Amino acid sequence: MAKTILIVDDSSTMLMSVKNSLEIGGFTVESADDGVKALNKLKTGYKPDLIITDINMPNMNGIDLIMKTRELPALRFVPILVLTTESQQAKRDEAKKYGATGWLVKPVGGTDLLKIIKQVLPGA
Amino acid sequence: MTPLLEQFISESRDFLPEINEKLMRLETEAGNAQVMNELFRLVHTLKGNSGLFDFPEMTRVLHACEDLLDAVRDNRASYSESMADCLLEAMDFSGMLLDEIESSEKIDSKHARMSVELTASLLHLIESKQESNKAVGLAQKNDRSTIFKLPNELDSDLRKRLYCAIVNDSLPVVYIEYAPESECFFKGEDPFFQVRQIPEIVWRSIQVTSPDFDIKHIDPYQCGLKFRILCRAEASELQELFRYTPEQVKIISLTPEDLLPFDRIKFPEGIQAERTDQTLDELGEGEVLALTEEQTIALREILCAQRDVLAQADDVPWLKGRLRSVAVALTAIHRALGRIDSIPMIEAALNDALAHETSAPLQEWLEKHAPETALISTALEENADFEPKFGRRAEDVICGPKTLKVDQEKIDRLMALIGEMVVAKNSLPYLALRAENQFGSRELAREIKTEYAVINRIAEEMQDAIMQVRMLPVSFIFQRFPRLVRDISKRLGKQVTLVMEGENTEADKNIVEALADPLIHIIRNSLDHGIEKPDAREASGKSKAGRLTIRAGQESDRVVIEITDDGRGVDPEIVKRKAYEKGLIDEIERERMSDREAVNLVFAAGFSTAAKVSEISGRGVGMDVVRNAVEKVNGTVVMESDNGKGTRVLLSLPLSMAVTNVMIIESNNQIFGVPMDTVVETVRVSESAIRVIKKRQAAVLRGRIVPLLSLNRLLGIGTRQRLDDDNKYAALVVRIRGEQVGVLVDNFHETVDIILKPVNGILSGLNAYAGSALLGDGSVLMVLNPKELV
Amino acid sequence: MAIDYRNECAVFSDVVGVEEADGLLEWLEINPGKPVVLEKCQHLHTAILQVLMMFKPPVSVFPANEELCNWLTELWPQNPGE
Repeated sequence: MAKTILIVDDSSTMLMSVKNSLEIGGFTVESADDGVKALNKLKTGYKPDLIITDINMPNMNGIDLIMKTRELPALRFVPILVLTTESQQAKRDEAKKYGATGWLVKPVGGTDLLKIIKQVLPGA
Repeated sequence: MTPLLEQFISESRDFLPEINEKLMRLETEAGNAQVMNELFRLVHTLKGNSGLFDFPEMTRVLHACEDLLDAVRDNRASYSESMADCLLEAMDFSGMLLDEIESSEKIDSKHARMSVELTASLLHLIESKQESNKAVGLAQKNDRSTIFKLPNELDSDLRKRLYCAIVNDSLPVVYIEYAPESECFFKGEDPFFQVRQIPEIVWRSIQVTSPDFDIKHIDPYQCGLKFRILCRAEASELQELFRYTPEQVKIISLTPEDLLPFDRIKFPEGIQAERTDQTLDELGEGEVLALTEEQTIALREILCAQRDVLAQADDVPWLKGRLRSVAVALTAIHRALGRIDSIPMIEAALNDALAHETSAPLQEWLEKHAPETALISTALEENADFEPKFGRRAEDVICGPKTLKVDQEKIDRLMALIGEMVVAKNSLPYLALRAENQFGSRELAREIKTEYAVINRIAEEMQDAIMQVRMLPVSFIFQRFPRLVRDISKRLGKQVTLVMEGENTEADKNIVEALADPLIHIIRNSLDHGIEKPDAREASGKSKAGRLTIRAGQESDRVVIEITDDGRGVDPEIVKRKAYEKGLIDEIERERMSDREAVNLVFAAGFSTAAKVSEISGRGVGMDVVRNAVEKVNGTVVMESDNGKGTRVLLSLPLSMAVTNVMIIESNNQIFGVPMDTVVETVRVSESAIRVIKKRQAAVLRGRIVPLLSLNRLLGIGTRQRLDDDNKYAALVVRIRGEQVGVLVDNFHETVDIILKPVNGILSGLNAYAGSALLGDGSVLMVLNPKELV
Repeated sequence: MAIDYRNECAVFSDVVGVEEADGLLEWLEINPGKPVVLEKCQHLHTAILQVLMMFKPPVSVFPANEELCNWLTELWPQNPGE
């Protein structure tokens, strides 16, 4: 069965780009454009195999989303990757502290993205 | 263009004005964290998006913006006006690049330099604190000072094999010790999965570490394992694999000594030195030996000096000597840094340079391989006085959003279709006429007319509905004004408060876009000539800061925009004198002219009131540009001034310009259209009522003397206008710049709605025509432009 | 579920995720000495691995996946007698 990935980003360009790459890689992709929408999706029993989230987003930022996601019993162990830029070392550390598995450095090209996902998602 | 690129452009176009707005807001609300965060998010996203494509010029600058804003957020730099200037400049630059991407899908390499300069200026604003951080980063150390003690369990056979692998085949051998934190499963980690990805494993061990980890008390969700591995992969590859948990993993490149099976004492100094080259190899490319901050600076200076030397002209006899000395300096630096791999490359670049007698190969090499810091610091020196170069972009053509809810092209197509339909429905009255005249069926004619009325109503409603879709609030151009006013008033040393009202007033997209240029010109004019400097204002009893009000509103089917300032106003006497000196008016006109009329002389071609040509508004073109632009879309512009107290400019434009109502007239057996909005009335003038005043024909109409001009003569047609059966001329009275003029034609016909198409190609130079249109019967109608004709 | 608990053994298949650690722990407690069949297992989460390491149940078939097998045979020194 295809692995499912939830991608959360307020930039429609970024969503489109990552979604495309992931779908080409054979994943089933859902998207949300802010933390609140993503969390609502997760609360209603949607259980992706991996979550990829941006950090800077309106309404609920990525770090809060990670904290709230980890509070949901079904999603305690789900790998979460944050989308960051080269310069955001502090944000990465913070995200890691609150339960992120790792990070992706924007821009993420198709093959790099799939390679990184294969590194954190067994059986992908 | 790919959909992704389209999405990027469209999204970025939404972002840029928002960023600009926030940058300016921060100037007055520097401490507003919410605005700051929002701004950071926007810039951050924009940068991230740009990185999806190959636009390094754009990404580089946005990256610097982001770094700078990040520094401000962390109080490492403080937000200032000059910082705002620099950031706004960067946004303008990005906007310009976007324009270029949109038109050509790539960025011309000529922008690279500007991009580097802007980046340097932005980074320069991050205070020195950041610099020292960088130096520390550069001085990253290899954490090996002593010989590493390998696990005792390693059997001597394996040790021997690995020792030989390193010594004889120079294969890397790396030891990895990975002790995941106990909570790691709750971060989505799977350490076992990580270690399974280590390539070329030659030895492995998994141990239980936790002391209270036994069958009775096991908590399966607390990780209590430790992994130790020897593998034959490069350390860099492993660092990459464990990049998310570097603090939980030790990655050590082994030296042959590490594998020797006895306890070791530290090597004496001499032996270490002999092995320098090999140690350096292990460091791998890109890693630099520990440097002190002082050394880092010195290094940078040396590299800059080489760069400067190379930048000098090539056509000197001592070029070869110069090239060699640079190469020697570079070689020495790289040897000192331990980057011995680079030395053959420098040699190759030198040979290339010597063979072609140009410094380019060495320059390129330096560009590519020297630490980035060197590049930035040179750029900084050149840029110590940062001058905005893109400021004028705020005054450039304003790009509305290229997509409404749907693609603009689709709406344009709808618009074109409804236009055709409006024209097509016009053929029904012709048909009714033929039914009656040619086929003698009055009843059919009436029925056709009834049907026509129905179709007409639907077409009109439909047209109206489509127009609504095309309506755009004027805020699309207004949003640029705060920036414009800020920049210009700053440059002029004036204080100005900008008030904008009625930004939500809507008009057709084309009209709104056509408004941009004239408005910008008027605003520039107000700031430059109208509002006085603070001290001059105080002297005349006004507040220090001038006030510029831009108000938009709708009046019946027109959108009216009023630009008011409380500046010095326009002196009608000075205007009259200037106009007279320039030959725009004669003595009599000068005498008779009202103040109101005089003020509006500023719109005459070739008029400019500023004594000197200033950077802001007096570019040799005066306010006549405004008038022309406004009239092009059937608008009018009027200026009112209260000398010493202020100026008011009133723009009035149609809400839409898609369909034009024209009257069809006939002259010399041809038909022409005249836009109804210029037509005042149609009258019949008997030959006897025409007087000749100063060799010009005129007639008294409704108590006014109206000059009469023959259309045939205006068009250069040799025949006289035809008289009707009552010996009267048909005179079409049109209003041109507030004056009434009678144009004599042969006959009047009905008025029709047409879609005016501009005249293209060779004919486009003919100003006498506003355009052409297709009539219901398929014939082409040339529409006159009375303003240019008379 | 990637672990099929049968009367006499537990059969692992595909990727055994972290959440199955509880179930495995329970089964191992109730069924001491019963073997696990890992032939079709592609990966098991660290949590599963450490539970197996604690209880050391006999492995009746090692994974067909050679690389995974290499790891596990380190931990379960193969006894030809079994």
